[in-house]
Amino acid sequence: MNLKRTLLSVAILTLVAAVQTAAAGEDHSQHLKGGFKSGPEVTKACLECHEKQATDFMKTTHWNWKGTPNHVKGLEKSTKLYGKANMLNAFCTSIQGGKDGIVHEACDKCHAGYGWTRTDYDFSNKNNVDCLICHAQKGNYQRASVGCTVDMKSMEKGVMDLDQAAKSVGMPTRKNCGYCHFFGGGADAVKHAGLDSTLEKTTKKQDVHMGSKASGGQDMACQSCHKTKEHKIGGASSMMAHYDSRVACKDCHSGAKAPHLKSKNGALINNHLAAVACETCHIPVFNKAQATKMSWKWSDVGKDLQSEDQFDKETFAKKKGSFTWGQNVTPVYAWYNGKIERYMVGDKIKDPKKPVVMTRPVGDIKDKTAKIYPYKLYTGDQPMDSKYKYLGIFQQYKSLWDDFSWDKALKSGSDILPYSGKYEFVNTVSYIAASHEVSPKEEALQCGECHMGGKRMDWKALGYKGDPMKTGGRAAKK
Amino acid sequence: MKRLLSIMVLAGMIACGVLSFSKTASAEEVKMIGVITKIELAADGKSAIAVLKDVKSGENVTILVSDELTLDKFKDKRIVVDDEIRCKYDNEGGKNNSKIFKKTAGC
Repeated sequence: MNLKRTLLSVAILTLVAAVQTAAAGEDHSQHLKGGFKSGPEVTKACLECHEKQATDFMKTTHWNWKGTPNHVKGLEKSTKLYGKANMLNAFCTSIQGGKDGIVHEACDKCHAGYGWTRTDYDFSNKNNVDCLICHAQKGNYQRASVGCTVDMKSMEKGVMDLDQAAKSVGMPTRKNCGYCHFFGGGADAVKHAGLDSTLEKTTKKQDVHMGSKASGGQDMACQSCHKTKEHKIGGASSMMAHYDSRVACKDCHSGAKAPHLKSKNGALINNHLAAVACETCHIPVFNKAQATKMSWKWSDVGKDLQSEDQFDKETFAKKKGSFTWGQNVTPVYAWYNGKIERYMVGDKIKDPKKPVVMTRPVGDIKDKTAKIYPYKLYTGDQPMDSKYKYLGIFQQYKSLWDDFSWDKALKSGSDILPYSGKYEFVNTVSYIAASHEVSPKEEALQCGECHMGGKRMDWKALGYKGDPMKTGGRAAKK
Repeated sequence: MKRLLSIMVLAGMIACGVLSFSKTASAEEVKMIGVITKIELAADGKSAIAVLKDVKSGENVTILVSDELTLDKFKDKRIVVDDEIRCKYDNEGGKNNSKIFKKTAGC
């Protein structure tokens, strides 16, 4: 009997240890000899055991930077692929400018592969997959700012150790994902609402999921919510045409963990769930720890304006134009039914006097599948071809940023879109989802923020007659 | 009239006292951009001294860094000598305590 118990205990302990090892990741230091001189050399070693993983990865948007436009209203049946590779935004705008797409050599620092420096790139070569950018835990793995490869300068200076990086591979941490995603738009905190480098090490007050255990948070990795299958990472960007799969709060918060079970007014709060997304109440403000870019006027490029500090960030740079910043920003709210309206390359602008909608959620009060979500309202301007009436593709890197000539920069982008020789600036507007920095429940919105005179919601703009607490919700009988 | 004058003098003295007290009690906040010439981590790893060469004046400024996020970057060499830094610090008690310490880099 005792022997049986002992054996059972040993078996359980072995199983627990195996599970812990699997969760922490296999120690790769024993499998790799080292002496690596380049990124592809590391990849070659990875492929000896992980060819399937590389093949899987090459089917994802993190590799191809495009996919079927399943997120865009009106393009559901399109067979053309869209993504960062061929779309425009209102930040650095496009990676396509210049002869042979020379802009790639700078922008593709954030492509999880080696060598995509020009438009033509062999997406079938698995030796070019950059495993380390997502998996290296040590060695200060860095990619070069130009050239889409390992940062050789850091290696030469001895501040990066490629061998140590290769031997340290494990499940991605927030630092790995943040290497690109915290720096969207070209620098820390620029693009995404509530997603910046302060989340690498943070507190529950900033984000209940990512906050440290010591602060009462969960210290969760990105992939805890952004569930990953065969290297396809869940999540739909409010700016992107394609998603591989989606993420929702209810993926975890359901059943015994369903929301508001312990709330005093749980039933009343739950009445909101048909029309109000979780994020709306639980992300009352975004960018709590450092400011995010709220506007970007490209039309100020080349001017001699005085840069001022706004939330400790500069408001003007001669090569980029002028900006405004926001910290602890109260979101704007809009209906979203799971689709976006998206400006695509070559779309004609009907009325240049009105802001061009770069991205906006689709849905309205009559749409039963839509809910009210929080957004960062980001505005700006960028050049439109005066004759063809579409937004121009211009070469910023190694053209506009060198000599401030819009004409030259737009000509350089005309391989993709013809340029008539005349341009003007048009205003743009983008609705960027605020889906990070979930606040502690004590800081969630209270009734009075939106109802009983609360000004947070513009009820009329959302299609209500007035405060639905008084005039009735959208399900109310007329 | 004398009473009014006394009240005004007294009010003036109080105001001067409050203002002079505020000046000594509040720290001076300074913003600068500089290039790191030296980083020295404390033995316990809980703080570090970084010397920045101000890009405008060329003067060396010694900054005391104690936030965990920046210390991590020193430790794993994501911030190293020769990096250009945007820094905000409080000068309090003769020490320049870092409030913001970030690389200026961006595309």
